[in-house]
Amino acid sequence: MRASALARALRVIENHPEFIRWCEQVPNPGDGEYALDFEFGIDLRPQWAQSGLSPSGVRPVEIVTVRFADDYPNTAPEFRLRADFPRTFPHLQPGRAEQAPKPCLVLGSETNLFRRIGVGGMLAQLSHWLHAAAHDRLNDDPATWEPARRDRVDDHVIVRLDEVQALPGGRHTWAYRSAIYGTWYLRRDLRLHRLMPLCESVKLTPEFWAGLVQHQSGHDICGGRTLCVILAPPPSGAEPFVADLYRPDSVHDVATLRVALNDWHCVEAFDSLLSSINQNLSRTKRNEVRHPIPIVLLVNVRRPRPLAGTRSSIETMAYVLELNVREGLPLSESSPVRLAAVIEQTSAALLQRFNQQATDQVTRGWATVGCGSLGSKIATLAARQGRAPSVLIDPEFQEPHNYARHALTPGDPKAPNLLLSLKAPALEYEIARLQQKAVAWPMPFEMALADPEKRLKLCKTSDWLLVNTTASVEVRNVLAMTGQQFALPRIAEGALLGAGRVGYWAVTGPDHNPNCGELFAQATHLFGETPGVAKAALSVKSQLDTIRTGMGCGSETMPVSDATITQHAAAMATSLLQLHKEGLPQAGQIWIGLQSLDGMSIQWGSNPVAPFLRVSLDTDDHNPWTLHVAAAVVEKIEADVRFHPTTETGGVLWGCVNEAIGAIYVVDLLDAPPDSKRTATSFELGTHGLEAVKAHRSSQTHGHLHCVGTWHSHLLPSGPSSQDRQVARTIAEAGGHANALLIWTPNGFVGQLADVESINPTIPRA
Amino acid sequence: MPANIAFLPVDNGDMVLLTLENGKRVLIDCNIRDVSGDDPPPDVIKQLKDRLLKDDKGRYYVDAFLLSHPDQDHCRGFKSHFYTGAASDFPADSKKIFIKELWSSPLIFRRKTRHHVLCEDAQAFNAEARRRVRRYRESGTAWVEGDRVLILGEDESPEKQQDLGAIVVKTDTRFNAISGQYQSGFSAYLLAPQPKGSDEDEERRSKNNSSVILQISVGAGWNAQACRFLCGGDAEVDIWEDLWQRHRRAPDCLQYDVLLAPHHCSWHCLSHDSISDLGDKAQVAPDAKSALSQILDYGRIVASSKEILDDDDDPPSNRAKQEYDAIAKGQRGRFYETSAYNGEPFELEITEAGPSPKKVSQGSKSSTSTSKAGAIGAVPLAHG
Repeated sequence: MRASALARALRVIENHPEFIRWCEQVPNPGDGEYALDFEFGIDLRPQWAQSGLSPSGVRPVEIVTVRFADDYPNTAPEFRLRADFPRTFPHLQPGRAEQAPKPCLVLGSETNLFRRIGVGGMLAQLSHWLHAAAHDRLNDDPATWEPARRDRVDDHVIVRLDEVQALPGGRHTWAYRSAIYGTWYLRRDLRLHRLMPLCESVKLTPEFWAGLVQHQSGHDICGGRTLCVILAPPPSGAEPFVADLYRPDSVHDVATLRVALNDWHCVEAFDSLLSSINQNLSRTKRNEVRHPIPIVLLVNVRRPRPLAGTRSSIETMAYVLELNVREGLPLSESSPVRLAAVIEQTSAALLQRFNQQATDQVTRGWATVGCGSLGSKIATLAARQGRAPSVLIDPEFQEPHNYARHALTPGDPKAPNLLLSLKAPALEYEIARLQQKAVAWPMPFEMALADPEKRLKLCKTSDWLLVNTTASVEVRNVLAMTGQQFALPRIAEGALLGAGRVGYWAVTGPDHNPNCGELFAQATHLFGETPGVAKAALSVKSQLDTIRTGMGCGSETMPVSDATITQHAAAMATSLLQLHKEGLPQAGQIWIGLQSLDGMSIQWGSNPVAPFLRVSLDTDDHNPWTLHVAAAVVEKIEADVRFHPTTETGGVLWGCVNEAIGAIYVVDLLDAPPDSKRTATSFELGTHGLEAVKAHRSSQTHGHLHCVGTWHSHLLPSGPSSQDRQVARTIAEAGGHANALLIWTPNGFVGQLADVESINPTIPRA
Repeated sequence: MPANIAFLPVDNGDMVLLTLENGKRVLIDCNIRDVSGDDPPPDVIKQLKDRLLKDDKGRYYVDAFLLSHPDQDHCRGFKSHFYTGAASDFPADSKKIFIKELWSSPLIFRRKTRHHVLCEDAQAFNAEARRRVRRYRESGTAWVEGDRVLILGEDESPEKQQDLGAIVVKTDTRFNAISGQYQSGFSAYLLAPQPKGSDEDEERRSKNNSSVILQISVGAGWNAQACRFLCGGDAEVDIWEDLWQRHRRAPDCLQYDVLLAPHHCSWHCLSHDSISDLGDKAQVAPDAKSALSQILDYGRIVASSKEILDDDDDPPSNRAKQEYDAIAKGQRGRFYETSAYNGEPFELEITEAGPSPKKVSQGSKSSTSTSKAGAIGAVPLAHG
């Protein structure tokens, strides 16, 4: 022990305003533990102080013992109260009646409290505790009941609280359940039990006792099957019995347990159990059991209010009785009883609580489309927060190289790769291990959508969101085409670009406007606004690479590390759960993240995307074509029209073409060149400087966005004129991709396709 | 609901909300500072409103507002945060607090203006008190909440107040009505201001921050005197000496379970001597100390001030704190500083067994600083 640290601590105690005096002469520190008593004042009401006691039994001056371990200040000091201090309080650590009680100074670790605020802070907490105890305010929240503290007990019973508290019910006041246990013998007198009740009910038949076996795992650990007994007080008349007083938490043997059970009206059922155990002890296979078998006793005590932090008014008290089978010793009044902490089994609610998710919010149905590296990470990150997806869709097998960048790890060190392991079922299993249910659909997403039954099921189970992480143009196309048609849920898309330097995360608008295709076109426009992002996401160097996976085979994939994918997945999962909490945005939304050059951080920015204007293009092609015009572009056109109220006006459409679904996206305009001519009946697009502007603008997105047609206005409500059709033909005959002529009229927009292949499709012959 | 005295954290100033068991609320003084800026003071108007009720018109209200004396640190923010004007004209969208009854002492205002100009808030209070007196004269007894006023202490000539008898509380009398309603759990004994005296007396009282001094008895359950609360604004040494001379043979009216240390724990309430001139040789005035020493067993003395440091500041004075601490300890009582509660009000909850703090403070500043000075207890916690 450091004498200087001890001296400092004693001075801090002396400086507390409620410190009165040391009860004895302060000795010099030696090698071992150091303990001192001191008088500590409690600010009582005058009448209580005069009578020497508060109604709850606290004195105006209490004797407090402070104990410093021999390794102080590595460990926190301990404060204890006089041995006869009343025990009928919450926030008091359990202990035998003859032991000095230890108040619970903080909800959590006292060591952490000490590290944070030192001895003075601990003493301030003690002062709060004693003041609250004197005024009977340790449980003064009228809405809740403070449960008995079990912070420092060795034994844990891992349960599903709703299951064990549902039993026994009605007239039955006990239930016997099978349980499994593990015991770790640390030293001769120090052991830890871990017990877990199972769903299976058992009868205490001779066969049951004979079936108790113990497995030894090495020298120190054993485990096996045992008994879980659940008791509940019988109802008093028509009403359930409510234990509305704190009783001393001092159970340590069968005698003191019986006193507690007597208070809770359960002692008869317990005596019956004891009798059965002792009668059947001889039936156990004592030669096969080396250590005592722990039996867990759970007592469901109904309280007048819900327990703090829960909605249940039932406090489940857990005790462990050790059955000495080998020696054949019956349980007697002096047999030790161990306190156990009731620990919640892993569940969605527990995971939600630890991730600050609202447990009263039901998890909305969502589906992961694509269970690859990004999709698996988003799905497991959400599952660890208790918000697992309902459906997992991916047709691929989990190949050896996938483990390099996947949320899942190989199952068996000796046989790391199960043959024919599909990604979706593997992820389903992982989520099931987190006690949540997701259903795997190991099939291409397009196939699932084509099946009306599957489609209906998808819309029902994942009615909140479909999250597409396939990075597949085909899947994006299908979603863009069918989202509205099949009334699919709204869609989010997550993807990485440019070796993971850029992250793309987007959510479609209500009624799929903007849809996935429109959002990606808009994102391409946004990439182009920042040269660094454009270079990372759109340049030739940013494209896929091939990495060798075996002899003469490789995988075309993005050269990106697992850590970078995890960075993006964490951000996307965070956004996903934020949307889950707060609701999807009113319009579409795009988030773009750019990784710093040192790879350690990602800067995200978000951009709302208003609904696109969709104009069916007039064409002879039997496949329809649609022009998708960004809202900002529509606003620009209308502003230009207002600026030229007496003449036609126009300009150049800027965007990209998706021929696979017959879509031309317009995300910006180029101004009409200065030599353009505007009259009341026509608009002639000039050429002066236009080529240079086109080249410059196209270079900003590394060629991904380009001219996709022209627009002009009509002063009267009319469709394409013969002159317009001629212009369309001229544009079409110039070759290249499909273009559009967009016409503003007082009655709305009309459009004409300009595509030579649509006018006269000719298939070149070999 | 238990009765309660809440001392709001206003540094050197007073702002005390007394809540009776039946829910009646009396506010004594206010010191509502601007909470904008980088290092704002505690938002006491929010803390006050958190403790007030709203009436059927959705207005926050106090049943009575007492101004102990018209210094800025006792009425700052009155004009901005409390409604003045005819009760019937209260604007629907106003967020101001509605005062059902005003407790005012014209004599205190008169003494204040002998040497000082009233601040804007004090002027607003005075104008409102005058409006309410006029309203009383016009309407007789047919006045309503929001127009009511109580005059504490007789003014310079009794004939001036001849028609105001029903609303004047004479010094050395007790009253037990709030806003015209008799209260079983409340009575107040008016100790000061003393009626007008000679010119010399008036000069002396003026220079000693003549204030309204009340001994308020708060009842709880069966105990009609669960807490006697003595409060006296900024009244200084001469005034306490006068009180002792008048009541030394029957000091019941000076007894207290809770004392609001006058003038924010100023040395000049206890002594004529100047500490800066005499240092440790400065002596307390025995009569003033006697007047302020009528503490009951386990009583409490509260300094509504900034943190009391061991320096030459006054108020608050460390020497005065030592005196009050000794007075309290003499009866096994305690001394509290409102500054020790981290910007939260210091509240005494009153039950049949007497008053006690709702919460205890975080301990002495010295103990905290000692614990923080070393490495122990200063290690940030990482989550691994």
